[in-house]
Amino acid sequence: MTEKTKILICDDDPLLLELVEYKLKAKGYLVIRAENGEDALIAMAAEKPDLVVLDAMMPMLDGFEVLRHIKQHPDFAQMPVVMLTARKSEKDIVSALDRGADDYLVKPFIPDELLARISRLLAARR
Amino acid sequence: MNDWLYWITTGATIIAGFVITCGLAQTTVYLLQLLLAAMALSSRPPVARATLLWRRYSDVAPPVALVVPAYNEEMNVVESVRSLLSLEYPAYEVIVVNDGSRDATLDRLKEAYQLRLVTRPYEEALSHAPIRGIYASQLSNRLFVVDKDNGGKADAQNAGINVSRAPLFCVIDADSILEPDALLRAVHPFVDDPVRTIAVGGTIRIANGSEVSGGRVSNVRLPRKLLPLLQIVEYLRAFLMTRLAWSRINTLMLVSGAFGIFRRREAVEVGGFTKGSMGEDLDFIVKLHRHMRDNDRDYRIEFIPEPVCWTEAPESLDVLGRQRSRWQRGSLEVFFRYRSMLFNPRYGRIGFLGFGHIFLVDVIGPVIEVLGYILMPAFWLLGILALDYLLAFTALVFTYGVFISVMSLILEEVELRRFPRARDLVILTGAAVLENFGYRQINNYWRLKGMWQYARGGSEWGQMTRKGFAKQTK
Amino acid sequence: MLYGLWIISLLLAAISLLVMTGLVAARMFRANRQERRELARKRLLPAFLAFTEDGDQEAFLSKAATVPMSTTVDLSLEFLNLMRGDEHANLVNVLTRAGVARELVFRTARGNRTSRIHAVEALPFFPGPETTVSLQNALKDRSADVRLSAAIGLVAGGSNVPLAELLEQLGTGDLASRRLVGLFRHLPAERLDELREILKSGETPSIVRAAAIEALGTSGDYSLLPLFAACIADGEPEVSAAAIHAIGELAHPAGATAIERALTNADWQVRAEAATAVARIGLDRASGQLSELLEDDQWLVRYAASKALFDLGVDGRTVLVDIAKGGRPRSQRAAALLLAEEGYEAQ
Repeated sequence: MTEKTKILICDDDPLLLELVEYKLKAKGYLVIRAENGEDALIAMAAEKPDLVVLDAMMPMLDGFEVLRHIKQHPDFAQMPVVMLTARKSEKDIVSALDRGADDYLVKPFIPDELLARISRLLAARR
Repeated sequence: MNDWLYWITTGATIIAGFVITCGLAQTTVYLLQLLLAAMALSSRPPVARATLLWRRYSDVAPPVALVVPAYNEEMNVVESVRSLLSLEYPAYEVIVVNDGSRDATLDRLKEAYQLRLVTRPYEEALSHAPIRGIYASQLSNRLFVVDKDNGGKADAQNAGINVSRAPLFCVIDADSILEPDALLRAVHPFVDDPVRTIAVGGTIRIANGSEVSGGRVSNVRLPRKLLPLLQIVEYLRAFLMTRLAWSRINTLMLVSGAFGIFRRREAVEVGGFTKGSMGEDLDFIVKLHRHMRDNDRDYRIEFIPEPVCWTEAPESLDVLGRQRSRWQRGSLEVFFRYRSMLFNPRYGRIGFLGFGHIFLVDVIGPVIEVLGYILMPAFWLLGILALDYLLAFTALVFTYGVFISVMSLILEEVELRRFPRARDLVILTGAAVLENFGYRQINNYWRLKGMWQYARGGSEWGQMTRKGFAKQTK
Repeated sequence: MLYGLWIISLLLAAISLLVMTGLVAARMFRANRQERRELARKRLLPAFLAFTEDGDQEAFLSKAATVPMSTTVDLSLEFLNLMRGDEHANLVNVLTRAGVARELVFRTARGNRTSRIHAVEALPFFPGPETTVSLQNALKDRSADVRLSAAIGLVAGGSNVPLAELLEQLGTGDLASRRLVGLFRHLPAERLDELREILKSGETPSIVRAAAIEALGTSGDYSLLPLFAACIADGEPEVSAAAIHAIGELAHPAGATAIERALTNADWQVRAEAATAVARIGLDRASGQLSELLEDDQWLVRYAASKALFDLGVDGRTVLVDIAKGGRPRSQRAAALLLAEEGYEAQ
């Protein structure tokens, strides 16, 4: 593979975007950023990323709805989605997994754990 | 002949005395409010960033039901609901009440959120026009839509309260924009004083001119047009001065219908919102005060100064005039409906300050001001008042008006600072001055018109047709 | 008189003008400072990012020395709020060296309330004797918010200040904040005895007791059952309701008797909580009592009872279906509605 693996991160907290982008780039991934759910969908259609990291509470479309869009779309249904959110209630976690989220991490998070889970999901797909 | 002139002058002098007394009373009230508001702002709970709020409150914040009445909102209901579904709050549900809209409001919702008819048992705690059906969304487990026969805003809100199951409910207009952390901020008094707090109101800000993107106000700017600009000064005064001041001494009389959180239990005890009311939000708070005081219960009705809700202000004289006349009718209606509370020692501050304020500002205020405008020049014409005095009085009235507006700008600037540029302050100062020449008088005319409508409407009370609500403000 | 009027007018106008000039000047000054701060923040951000990757303390410290302390503090707290684990711990170490902890200690005692409360909430990121001392001092702060945050910080940080003493310092009385629940939840398991003592004490205000029960309910400690059961008999409905809710949360069969008794409690909130608790512990034998509650005067009790019957599983649902087919009108309605809400079709 000559092309780098593309990861889309979607969160309305600019600092989180900075941090995750930095970490991912250090691991050699290509990173696309989106600050709200609608931008995420647009970026997804345009860039066709290999994996998405999604926040739950965002303007316009919240993460759960973006997740549903992804999982219902024939082109994207197979793409792994990692939820990264401050919502930690059982109900939210279960509902996200029900809708097809491939992983769920609660903020505050362990950056290395996020990286490990991302590479595991990507490896599983190949 | 002389006799006649004598009576006229005596009468006029008496009226003038009355006008001056009322003017002085209003002045005192304003000064008191300024003082209280400054005190409240300096001791208000700290403003925290959203992440901190989340850490502090997410584990203990009680569930909230958002009740959103919608009448003929096909244009923006889908977008509004979408932004409501992405609020930062641990546990909430959104209950949109379609109040028998004649347009495609319900269809738009059905389509966008894949609604399906469900059975949702609820208690008939409040009466309202019949519910045709309750829908749940297949996309979000937080969204419910209640479809009912038309009955007006209060009626729709009551239906929403019935269907809600959370201990708190929040009423909002379908056409306003909430800050993402609005609920988390506004719920603060319910967490910190859970026993006594029964209602919380938040600041409504004017969004005209600001950039709105993604269902949020992203860049706060002043409107380019004059009319909304003048209203901004007005809103700052109303929220940062009057409401904050009255909240400080637990005399808050109005939690705006565009954003307020209430405890469901007390809301049901007072029978919900009063149907067919012009100012159902004012009416509701007055009812709550009366109920709690009648039952000797210790309670708090709080106001938080941080902006939580943005609304589009009318940009044409015509629409603004209708809005103001309606507000005036609403105030009068509430004042006369609960008139027994005025100066009634049983209701303490509510009777004296709260109702006194309504009486002074809303009931006799507009009349007094007009009398002042007529009498002062008349006295001068009649030779009772020297030109020097006429000019001096006029100057005083205007400089005082400017002074009060400027003081509320200080409150804004020192504590909240939501306008990003220094230039905005200069413009607002200009608006605060300008407001006194022309706008204030037009406003007064609208209020008199409202009074006239109220006086006439009183006789044909029974056959008032309800046209719904939201679009009247547009 | 005339002279006086003019003087007042002029005075008002002059004050207004002066004030606004002052505000605009202050604002321009502030905007300038804000701009410098943002620049500083932009300079420091890469240092933070690089540190999380390479852990080079010296490089970070030399970069941090070039920006104002306030910038470092702000950015630190945002980062610390974002992550946990080893990288968090490394960051805490380097930030302590950079003087952030010292600055926060300083801020807890000075400045306005907003600044104090922020400092008190951030200080627990930097555990240590100095932190403990300044949080203990903050317990005597004149603002209740600061005191509460300090208490939560102390408990979460493993301090041994007795709980009773903390509560006394908080001075909560009958008007406690719900954040007390958060405070209690931070108590480590070995200190739960203190909470029991508080619960048992006759002097504890009912709202504090309810908060204690709520916090204990999630502890999963079955030995609490008798204590909770005793609290149901408490005079205050909110305490009784919290107790029965907690028994349901523990979901231990030993709670059965207490729950069955609570189903006939005089207070409707207690009855409703009891009905929900029946389903939680799977108390099939109470289905008879639950179907009686379908006739309750309170809607919420009827609803909770029907929901509980449904949640009990096959047996409960059979009961519910039978009632929906031909029970007394009120029960029949409650049962039918619930079945419809759950979308349940009887076979």
